[in-house]
Parts: sequence; C-alpha cells; structure tokens
Amino acid sequence: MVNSEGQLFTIEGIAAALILLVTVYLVMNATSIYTAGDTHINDMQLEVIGSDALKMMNTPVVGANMSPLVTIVQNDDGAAFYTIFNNTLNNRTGSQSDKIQFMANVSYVRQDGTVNTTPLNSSRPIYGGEHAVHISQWIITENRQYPDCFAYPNYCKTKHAALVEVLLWRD
Amino acid sequence: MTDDSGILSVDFLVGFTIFMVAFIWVATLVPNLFLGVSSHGVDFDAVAYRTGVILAEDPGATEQIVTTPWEFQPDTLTANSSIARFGLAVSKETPNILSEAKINSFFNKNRYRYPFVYNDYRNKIIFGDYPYRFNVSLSVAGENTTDYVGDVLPGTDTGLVSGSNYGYIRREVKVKHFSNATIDPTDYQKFKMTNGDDKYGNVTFNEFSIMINADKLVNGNITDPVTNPNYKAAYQIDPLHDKIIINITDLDKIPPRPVWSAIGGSGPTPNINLTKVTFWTGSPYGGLAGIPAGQVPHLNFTYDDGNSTPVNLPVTLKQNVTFIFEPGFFVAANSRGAIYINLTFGVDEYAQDLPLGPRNQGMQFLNNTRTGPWDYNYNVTEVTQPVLRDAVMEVAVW
Repeated sequence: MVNSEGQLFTIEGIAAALILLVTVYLVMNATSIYTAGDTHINDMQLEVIGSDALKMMNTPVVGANMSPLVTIVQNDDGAAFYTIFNNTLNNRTGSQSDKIQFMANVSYVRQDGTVNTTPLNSSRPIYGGEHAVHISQWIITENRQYPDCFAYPNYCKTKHAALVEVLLWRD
Repeated sequence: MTDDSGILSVDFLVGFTIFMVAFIWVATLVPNLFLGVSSHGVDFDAVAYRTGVILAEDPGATEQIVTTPWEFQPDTLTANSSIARFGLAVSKETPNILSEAKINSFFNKNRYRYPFVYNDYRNKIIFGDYPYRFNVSLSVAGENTTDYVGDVLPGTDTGLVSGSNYGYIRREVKVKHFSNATIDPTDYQKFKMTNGDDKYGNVTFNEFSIMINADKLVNGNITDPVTNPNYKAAYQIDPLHDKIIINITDLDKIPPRPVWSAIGGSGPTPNINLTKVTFWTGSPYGGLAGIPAGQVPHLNFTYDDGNSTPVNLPVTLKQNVTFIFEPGFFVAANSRGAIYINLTFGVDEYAQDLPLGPRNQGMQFLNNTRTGPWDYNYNVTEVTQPVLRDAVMEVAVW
C-alpha cells in the first residue's frame, strides 16, 4: 500500500526551493562587489600601461624627427612595431619582463570613402576567450606605403589621419 | 492512512521566509560594512596609481612663496619643507616626459631621508593618513642601474597585478637628456674665432665669449617649420633648468704653432692659462646673485683635459677644457634675456731667437672679440640636442 511518509509535498517543496535559490542568488550578487572591483583594476592597469606604451611610441626621440609609430605605419613595418611595442609594453625595472599579449590594427579612410583596417602585428592570434582591453592612438601619416596605395598613388602621398588600435590581454 | 509527518507546515514556511528576508538584508549590508577596512587591495592599487600619475605627469610644486623649482631646493630642513609635491615631468604639457634633473634630485637618498627623520616621500608623493609603505623604481634604457627609493617589496616579485599583496602600477616614460656642445678646430675656422693672423693678432690676453640665448631657446622655435608644437618642452634646451656642457677641444692647435727651431733657437713653449670665467645674465638680480648661496656649486664647473674633478681658476691647459654647468646653475637668469660666459685666456709663448732677445710674446688664440660670441642654439651641427630615452617606472604601495 502506498503511503506518504518521507514524501515532500509538491507546493511547499517548490516554494522552499525557490526561496533558497533566490536567497543564494541575492547573497552571491551582493558579495560579488569585490570581484567587480578587482577586474576593473586589472583592466585599468593594462589600459594605463598600453596607452603609455603607444603614446611613448608616438613621441619622437628628437624634436625634428617623426615618431617611431608614424614611421612604422607609413612603411607598414609590422616587424619593427612588434619589436618596439613588445619591448616598451613588457619592460620592467626588475630583471623579469612582463607577459602582456597584444594585437594591433591600423584603420584609415580610403579614397572611395570606405574605412580599411589592416593588421599591423600581434604577439599571438586572439581566439575570443580573452578578456582584452582596447587602446588607440591617432596619428597623421604622409606618403604612406600601404599595399593598396598602388591604386591611388597621389592620394597616399598627402597627409591624412590613421588610427592605431591595440587589444591587450594577459594569458 | 496518511499522516502529516515529513510535511512542511505553513507556519514553518512563513517563519523561514521571514528569516531569509532578514538574512538577505543583512548580507547585503555586510560588504558595505567592511568596505572601509577590508578593501586594502583596491585602496593600495588606487594609491599606487595616484602616485604614478603624480610622478609621471606632474612637474612637482613648491609652496607658493618659493619661486625656485623644487629640484633646486638646498638640502635643509626648511627648504625641504617648502616642497609641496614631488613630480618628475618636464612640464604640465608633456606628461610621461621626465626631467633628468628632477630624477637625480628625487632618487638622491642622502637628501630626502626615507624612512628616517623627515619622511619626505610619504608626505609629497603618497599622501593620505594611513602610513603606507612603498617602493618607486625607475630604469632607463641603456643604463645598467635601476634607481629606487622606499622599502623592499613584500613577498616574491611575481604578482605584477592587483591580487598580489601590494598595489602596483607601471608607467612607460621617456627621460629627457641634456644637450651639450663641442667647439673644435672646425668651428675655429668656420666662425673665425681666432684673433687676426697679422702681427697685431699676437696678444697675451684673449677673450672668448659664449652666448646662451635663453629667450631664443625657451621662447623661440626649435625647428622651422615647427614640429610637435605641443611637445616643445620635451625637446627644448632650457638653460635655466637643464645641465649645459661645453667642451673646447684641441686648444694646442690654434693656430698651428710656428717652428722657430729652424733658426737655431729652441722651440716655442706656449703657455695657455684659463685665468678667468665671468658670467653676465640679464637677470633682475644682477649676475648670478639671485641663486641662494650654497645651492649650486658656482665654483666647480671647470674640468681640464678630461679630469673628473673640477679645478679652480686660474688653470694651465694642455689641450681641452670642459665646462659643466649643473642643472639650476643659471636658474636666476632672465628667461627673456641671454646668458654670456666670458672666458679669459692668458696666452703667450717663450721664444729665444727674436731680434730683441729671449722673451715672452703673445700669440694668436681663441678670441672672438672681433666676430661676436659663439651661440649655443638649436643648430644640430653645433650643439648636440636633447634626446628622449625610453624608461620605465614602477610604483608599489602596501
């Protein structure tokens, strides 16, 4: 014969479960304030280091020269970008260097008005799971040597703006 | 028959719900309750960031009544207390470009005593009531040493980011190095810097003057056309605040020595003395008197023939002389005027085979009284311009 001993009655059981779940959810939500703050600080540090590095690359060594970044973008010299940016980005005062990964692109407006984005270089490909921060620097280029310039040689000789964008993340 | 054992009663549910609501309410308050005391990690990072910004982006400041920049304050308790804030930037307009003079002053451990008597660093870069411990280090590319002040970092240095046991920030910066100039035989010819080649050019006192036109250097254009107008302070020569180095080389070659021994006499024995160096500036204080006594070594700037210790005048020179004017040497000069450095050389040569018998006679030498002073300017062929070197600064606070 079937009896009801040891059986949880439906309505009360569901109600209790819901109350417990809501409680856990709210408590977790309330205490996660620490995590949010810490993530923000990691992002802030990466952003400061990255934007410093890009800004310093865009600072000429002597007043009359072009900055290394402008020279690199004009010559589309990804190898030089990797060397200088990686060195500036991961340089530390101690003997150990840092291990920040990066991926850089350059965007500019073509003669037909469309925006073209070309990769500059990266320390490794980005797969999508990384928690990356974004930094950028506007530069003025002149006489750019991009692959598409053969179609518009005169256009590439004039001064125009380009945007260097870099994604930074730690593995 | 069914009984009610194992069944939650409505009373219990009501009681449990009230308890849970109360619990949730308290739990929501808890993080706020402890935010002030338990979030040092967040606080340390914020303080480290603030300190990094002050050092990298701010030129520093003194109390308003003091006009001399903080890096030139003498090493006294009063002067140290007149410094409101350390900051290493060349100017407010050029963040992340650091001044070498400020770096040298900031990392001078004999001056701002940490952590002993005066506690200057804590009051002038860290701020705040909590007695933070800190470490600031700076490493310049191409230099083997790392400058640092503060305590030894806690734990092993692998943290790098927040979550380690100290707050941390890193700033990528550039250090502005000083300019220098070398005056050599090419310049002697190019600028006609010797007295005439006739017999009247043989004099025993030669005056040679160097002009550092502060007005042109500070207020004029560095290049024509102007490049990087917003970053002017990063590339300009600022004689009032920068170190100035002037080398004069190959003094024994001006002009080529005549060969007397052919007539039978002994060769000439030229005697080159630097007898006097005087300064004239367009300073409202008159000369260099505006600089507080003992602050800048106004005597020790002459280095003869590559020696590393300065000499007092008069000095006998063989070949070269170097003048090193430390940062702040001309700080009281007028930035709207020019600084003149006048060198007096006592030069003669002893000749034995002259018609009138052996005697000292004058000779031609470095002398630009006829042609005008040699100009310390932005011409890259005459003066090595200031360059910016990569550097990295790290601030840790705990």
